[in-house]
Amino acid sequence: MKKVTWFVFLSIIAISCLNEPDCYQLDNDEIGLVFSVMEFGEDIDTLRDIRISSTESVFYPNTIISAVLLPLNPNLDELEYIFQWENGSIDTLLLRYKSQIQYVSEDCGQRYVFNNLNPVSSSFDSVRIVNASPGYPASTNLVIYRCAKPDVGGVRFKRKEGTTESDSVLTVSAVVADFITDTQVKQVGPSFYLPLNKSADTTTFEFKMADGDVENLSLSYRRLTRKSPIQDCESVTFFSRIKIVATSFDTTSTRFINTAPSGSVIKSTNTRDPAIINFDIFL
Amino acid sequence: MISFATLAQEKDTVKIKPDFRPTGLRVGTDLISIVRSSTDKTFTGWEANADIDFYRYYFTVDYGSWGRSYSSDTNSYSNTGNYFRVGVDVNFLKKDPDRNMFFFGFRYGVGTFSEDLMVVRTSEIWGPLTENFSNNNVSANWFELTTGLRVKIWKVIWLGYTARLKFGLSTGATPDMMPHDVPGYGRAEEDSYWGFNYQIFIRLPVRKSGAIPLKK
Repeated sequence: MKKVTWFVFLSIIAISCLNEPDCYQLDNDEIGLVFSVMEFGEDIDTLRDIRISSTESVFYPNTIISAVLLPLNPNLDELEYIFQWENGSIDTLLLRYKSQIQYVSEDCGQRYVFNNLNPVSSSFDSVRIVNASPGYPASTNLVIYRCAKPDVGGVRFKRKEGTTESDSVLTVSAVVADFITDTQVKQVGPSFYLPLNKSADTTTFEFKMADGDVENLSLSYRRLTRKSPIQDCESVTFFSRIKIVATSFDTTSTRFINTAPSGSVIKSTNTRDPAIINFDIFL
Repeated sequence: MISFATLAQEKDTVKIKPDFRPTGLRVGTDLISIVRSSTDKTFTGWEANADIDFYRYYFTVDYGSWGRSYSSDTNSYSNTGNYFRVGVDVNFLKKDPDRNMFFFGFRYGVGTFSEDLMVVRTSEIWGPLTENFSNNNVSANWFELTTGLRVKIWKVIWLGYTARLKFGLSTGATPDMMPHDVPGYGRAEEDSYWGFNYQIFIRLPVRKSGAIPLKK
């Protein structure tokens, strides 16, 4: 009787061992890229789109990004990612990797396993591998660095009625700095990001309004140029103590705010990269 | 006074030197593999087992073969391979007159297998991903910790089971396809894996069994 009990018990164990385990893993076919500015951290920029060799698909069209997830092709071991930025510039990243397939189960089918991520070439200033094996769920695999250029100041136009403040979006046909003819000024709603002259202590901007009027704005500042600790980068010029020294705008007041686009107040008086809003100008 | 008592106690103990000469060769097969081969359409396999005793230590050898086959609308997988294991079991039922066993042991497993996978899939991004993959004559080895029973049922007929904790799987290079199922081991992506055999044996005596060494 004792023997029979033993074998019944063991038979139950044996049958339980025949069960297939649950499907628990899927493809790890996405890589995570994080954009960063050397010395400053997170980089935020606007993409026109990202395109990838071997597919017509377009990724992240007209999107403000600081990180992206991009797919890997299981049938290839190399892909070129083409980043088209809002300002018209283009960056490329050639990524090599190892792709393997594995059958998982009748229910789950197969999975694709990617590893050995290797950025072979790129137009970015620097690319660092954080994790050469994509995870599930996807996480950061590569950090893409850009050399810092903290040479842009930000102003935001506002209106004040009583105690109520509201944004004032100017309709501007062009903004021209006094030291560069082809001035790249980025306007985001009521805010303007203005390039500062590294060779002088003031920069004056002409705002050519859509109605034909021209307004001026002069900023003064202190400059500090030092060599970048990053070998691949040129020297970096920091601007501090920015002041509005003259303007033809019909202003009621100005306010130093030093606030990032996200709303967080920056304690340092230096310019930053990506640029922050340094002043509110009340019209 | 103390030394006389100690001497008297020593004289009451009869020590019998362990006899390491084998008394029988046990050969058998795994019943689960046989039953599964006839009831599970995705599995075919068999396994033969043998052990021989050296006092309470049993040198064991297993040899087997299995293959699996799965197919669906989007994929088709099959594998086949052979394997063997060698190792030692230690019997912890020292005083059983029938030499029934409750044992712990270890094994070293070695196998060779081949597998094929066909995938029919369309990706929204990459388009058709239809492809055939294969691994041919891939070697594998692993380790096992074992435990189980061997029970004499009738004359030379024995039944038993072996539970196995398999671990440390290492396979040869498989550049395009990671192995799914290694015959003798199981699912290759598992760092450790349980196995179970339910076995029937015939024990062939090679000499008359001596007395089981006992301590009085």
